[in-house]
Amino acid sequence: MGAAVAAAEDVVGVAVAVAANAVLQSLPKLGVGLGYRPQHQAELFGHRDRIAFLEIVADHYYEPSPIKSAELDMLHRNLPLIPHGLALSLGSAEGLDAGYVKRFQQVVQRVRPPWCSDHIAFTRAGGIDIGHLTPLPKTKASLRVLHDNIRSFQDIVATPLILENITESIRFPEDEFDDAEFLGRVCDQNDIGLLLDVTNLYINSVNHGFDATSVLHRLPADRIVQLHFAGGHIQDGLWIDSHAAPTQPEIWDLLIEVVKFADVKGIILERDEHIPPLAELMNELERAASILKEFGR
Amino acid sequence: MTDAERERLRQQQVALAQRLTQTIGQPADSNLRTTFGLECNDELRCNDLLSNLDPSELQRSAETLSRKRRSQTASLLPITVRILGERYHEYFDRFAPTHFPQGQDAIWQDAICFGLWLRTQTNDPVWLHDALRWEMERCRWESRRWFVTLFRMRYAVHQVLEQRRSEEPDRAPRYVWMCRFGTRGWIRFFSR
Repeated sequence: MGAAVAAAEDVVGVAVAVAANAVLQSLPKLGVGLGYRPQHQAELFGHRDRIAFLEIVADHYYEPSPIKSAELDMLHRNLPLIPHGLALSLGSAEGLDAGYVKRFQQVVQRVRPPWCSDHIAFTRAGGIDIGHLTPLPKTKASLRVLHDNIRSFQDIVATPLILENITESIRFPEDEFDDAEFLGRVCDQNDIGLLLDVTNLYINSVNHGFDATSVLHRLPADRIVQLHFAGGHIQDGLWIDSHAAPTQPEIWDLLIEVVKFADVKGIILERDEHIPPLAELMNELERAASILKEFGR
Repeated sequence: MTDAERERLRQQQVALAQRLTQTIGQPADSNLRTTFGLECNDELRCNDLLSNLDPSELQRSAETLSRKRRSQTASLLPITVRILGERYHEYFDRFAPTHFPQGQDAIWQDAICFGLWLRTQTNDPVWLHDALRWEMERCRWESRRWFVTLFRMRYAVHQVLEQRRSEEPDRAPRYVWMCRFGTRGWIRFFSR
């Protein structure tokens, strides 16, 4: 009986995968943009011509004050915006927080993005908000939980959803799939796109000892919608996804591999600590834009 | 997936959330399995659910979480953190295990609770407490997505340049700050 259910799930997965291409392929190409941070607000319009779109943290605009509300309107009037959630906690076995999904939906409704995003992770369990993206074991049980939660989310939010791979500080011995297979199944079984964080892929590969390029080439290329990249740092011999430094050459190399491999719709540069003047980040944006151009994306 | 598998995953997530948040700020133990409660027999079933995880990975995750909280709080209490200088890390690591913030405004609550806790810990001069009071008040408003501006402070704590610790452990640190611009540049004043 169990085997029959598993086989049926695989068939459904394949059927969904075929149908999905049309939705994902029809998404607009946005180019290269920036993860919006309020520190850049004043400088933003001086570089308007070189920023194709912004990714906003949806959580910052839940129940906004008049000032935040005006900021959101101003950004929306001037640039395409992609809302990026931090705490949907789609991997929570106890289900979604309906209030959080509703607030996310309100932001999506205001900015009408081509797609929205969150993470393959859980942030909440047993009434505790961990405040950090926590990895899931790569098992059939996790896939099922993700499937149920994504369905519940899509019942409320109709905008296409893409999910991001996270840096995994914890690996589970009970894993039934490797990274590529798990990410592929999450996308295929739920008919969603992948927000591939190139830095996270690189960091996981170094910290956990696997080859990032071989994982990349086993991902479903037609589901990679958007990329994130950022610089990290090494601490006690391990890479940390700190978003605190210029992008390292190894990550640029991997980004080029990804762009060669997949027809991505957008790339976002992230910087959360040691935030420099926007002009400094523009060099990285221009380099990413030239990579897109070089490979005809 | 059976209900039992989902329930096991749920329990494992609860156990992980508890472990990561309860161990914040605790110093690294030579016996990490004990630090993370992984050697307990069966006092909590949760321990079984985490017993196959690498304790050093749990330790690193807890440290990452702690660093994140410390950095978020520092960004919300910049004047206080500058005044505390090197002592900030020490104080925050002592505070962190006593409280874990919850909910949508967790980062502001964390900063406010740290401020309340700090007021009971330091014997710093009254102007530090003034700075703290202002920054906590600002956090209260910002958590409701309102931004407030301060026009005037009783003490120029926003201009504190550095803290100089005395070589003698019992002696209070001295603070240096800019006070006014004179003919030879900024004139620096020292706290007593």
